[in-house]
Amino acid sequence: MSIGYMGWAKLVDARVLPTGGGFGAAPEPIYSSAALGLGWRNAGVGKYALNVVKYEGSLDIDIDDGGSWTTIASWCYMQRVSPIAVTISPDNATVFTYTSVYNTSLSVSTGQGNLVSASLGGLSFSRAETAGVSYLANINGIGCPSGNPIPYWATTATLGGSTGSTIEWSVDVTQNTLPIYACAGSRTPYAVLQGQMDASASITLYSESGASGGGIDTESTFGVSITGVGGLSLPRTLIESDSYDISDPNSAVYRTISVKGLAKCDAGNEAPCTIT
Amino acid sequence: MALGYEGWMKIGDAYALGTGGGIPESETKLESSSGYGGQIKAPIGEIGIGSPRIYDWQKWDGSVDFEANDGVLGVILGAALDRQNSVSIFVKTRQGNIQQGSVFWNSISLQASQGSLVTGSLDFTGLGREYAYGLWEQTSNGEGVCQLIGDPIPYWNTSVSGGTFLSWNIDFSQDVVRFFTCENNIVPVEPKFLAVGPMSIVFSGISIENVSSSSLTIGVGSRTLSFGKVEMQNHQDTLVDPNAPVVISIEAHPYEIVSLG
Repeated sequence: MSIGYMGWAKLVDARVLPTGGGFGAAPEPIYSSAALGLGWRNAGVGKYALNVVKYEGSLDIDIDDGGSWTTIASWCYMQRVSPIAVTISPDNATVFTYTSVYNTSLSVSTGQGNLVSASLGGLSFSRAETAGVSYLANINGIGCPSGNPIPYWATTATLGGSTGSTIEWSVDVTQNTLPIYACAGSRTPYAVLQGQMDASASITLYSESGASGGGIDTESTFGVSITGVGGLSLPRTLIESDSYDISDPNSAVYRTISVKGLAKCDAGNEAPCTIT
Repeated sequence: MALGYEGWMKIGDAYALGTGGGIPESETKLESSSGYGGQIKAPIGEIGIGSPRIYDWQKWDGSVDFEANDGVLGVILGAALDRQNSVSIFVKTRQGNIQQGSVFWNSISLQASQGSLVTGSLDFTGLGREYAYGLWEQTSNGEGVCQLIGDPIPYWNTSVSGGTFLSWNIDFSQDVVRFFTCENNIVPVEPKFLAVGPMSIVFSGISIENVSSSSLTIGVGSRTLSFGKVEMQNHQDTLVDPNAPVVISIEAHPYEIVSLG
């Protein structure tokens, strides 16, 4: 038995501030659909073959200024075709060690009153598991991370052409990860490929004199800066939705704009979302 | 009402992971091309429909589909080489139903693809069948054959020499020809002779690597299919969807069976 405060997580060697999630096992056996001569009382799937064992899910964290962002930027953007090592302990009793985790998605967001948080999607095909530390042993574990969380007010987000103060923002990246399973006499996947990066972002604006969306049908740049950490940029976006609706009598009226990030294919190619 | 789980299948002496098929009976008509001629007249009920016809010997041609297991693979790979002898097929679709007969195979196919079990089918020419309708109600709790049926084989427990294949398919085919004779009978007679034509084998697959080889070995669980004199028939390396792997599509024709078993 344990309590949530005992858990911890590392991306390579960088401690993060985990708030939930993990990479659970998804064996997905291949079940037979054959008729087996079963009667009505005992009828059910009776035959199967084992499949690839994979571990997938997402790790939710608060972004910190202790250096983990560099690892995240590399894992999700600069070196997105390469896996990294991840270590997660949900209770400081059991430790899951993943030597090769591919990034499948990244979501970063914040809004008034909140910390900057992220959800990191991952896919691994191996996991080592150790257990043994008791809750009653009052083990201090691996200590506190060096970094501190980042508040919403320490960020800026802008959408080219728009006006108004940013109330909240989010950036979502999907890697379209594609494992290749081959008929090669082994349960291990042949390869893991990263598909096209899909990127999208959302920004909520407020202005006493009316927030402007910058115009639909027009390409613009979306950018986020996180003080002391880095930033995210969607260098070429198109508006997919623009909501500026009547609000609750006791609520402020906001304008929320969602954009899709496009690959920049001119003299200087750029990804739909760059992370620095 | 009976549901599919009550059924089971046996190919040769091996209990199969049957997923479909049976031994159908179909009537063969010998139709005159003369037609009725003349003109249409009332009342409508006197208008003839169809052509002058007489019925010939029935056909019991059908197919069975299965997920491959070791026992069934042993039977069908043996049958592929033992072409002059028949294979017994037993299919039960519901309690009490019986469909069985001895058949000569027209085609045998096996295939595997990522994420799936190895599946196969056997198309056949039959010379008769024993048939009993059986019950359509849920009255029994099974016949205890479940434990006799071998386990399915996953795609990853197969292999193809010369490349890393995401999927593959192999088809054996041969014509089974009936010869009927004119013996002045007053009722249709069964075929006088049955003969099988030349066997042909076609391999096709989707590979990650380029493949060029004059031999081919396919592993399916503990079974091995080995061929020589393999000739490339079709090779395609095309642009694909941005989120799909770039692969090579291959069709090759073996002209020698080294071993099956």
